[in-house]
Amino acid sequence: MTARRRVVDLLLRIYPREWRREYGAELAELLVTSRIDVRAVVDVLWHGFRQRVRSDPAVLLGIAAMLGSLALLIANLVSPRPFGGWTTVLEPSAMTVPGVRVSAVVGDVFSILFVACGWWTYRRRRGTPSQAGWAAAAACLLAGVPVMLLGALLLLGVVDVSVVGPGHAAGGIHARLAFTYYSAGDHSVSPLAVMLFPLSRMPIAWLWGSLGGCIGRWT
Amino acid sequence: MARKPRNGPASDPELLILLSLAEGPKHGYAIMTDVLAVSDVRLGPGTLYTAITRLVERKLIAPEATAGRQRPYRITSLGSKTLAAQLNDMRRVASIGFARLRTV
Repeated sequence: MTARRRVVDLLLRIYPREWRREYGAELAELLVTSRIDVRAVVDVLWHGFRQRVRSDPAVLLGIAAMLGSLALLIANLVSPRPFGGWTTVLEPSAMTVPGVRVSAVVGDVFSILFVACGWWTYRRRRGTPSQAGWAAAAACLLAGVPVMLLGALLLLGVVDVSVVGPGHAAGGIHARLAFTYYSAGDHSVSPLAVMLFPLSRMPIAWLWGSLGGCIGRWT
Repeated sequence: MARKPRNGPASDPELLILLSLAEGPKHGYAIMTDVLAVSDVRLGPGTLYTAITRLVERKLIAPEATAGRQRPYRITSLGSKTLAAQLNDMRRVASIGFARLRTV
């Protein structure tokens, strides 16, 4: 196998497996035999991404949820609100492991999203409800990318945490970018807990997704 | 065609592919070179196969059986009718446009 062929095969990995089975060999042959420039590579990557979004609802919903949680995190960073405001994203929790609740990936909207993801995946690809659950877990992981990134930034010290309690607005100007952590008691926040939190939601997302898959099977 | 082409209806990839296949069955590379020669539109490989996928799904074109890696596609009768309808629409709009330009 030539180096060019290997690069082309790698490039085509962005397309969904079902699509590659049908058209992959043809497109690979076209890319190997014709002139490839940066424009052609960008074209293939863009359309591969579009095909993946089109054939896999989990990618589409995961990206939508990722943008939603990113918007919430940015809203929190740039505009700290009083305790309980809609930008309350980080809260301490005695009910979860790790002991921090990232509301951007646990809200009711997200539960509905994972059920919808499971239902849509089952309707589109059939398979089993469990596979629909795995698709929802993948969507959960995508949705949690901004949260994990925030955890990494906290860990690296790029972003500070400003802890506020009930009735208190978050502080004004910080020396560095500060994320507002809302706590009723005297709680601190572990960056590692924030980073790992989206992973801890994956089993729940799998359950909601499987439920969606079951609904898809019954309807 | 669902997507709005960037440089007017005459550069729509799906229309151009149908137009190319109206001449006879062709594989991907032949479609690309024919489209470039006829309309001066360079279809990217990803654009080409996304359009081919959509056309196959809509049963406007169909793959022909072949032993090689490059599979030729042919236009179906539904594809021919769709292409004719679109070209007629374009001709009608173009003739109205030219008539109005003459009155300016």
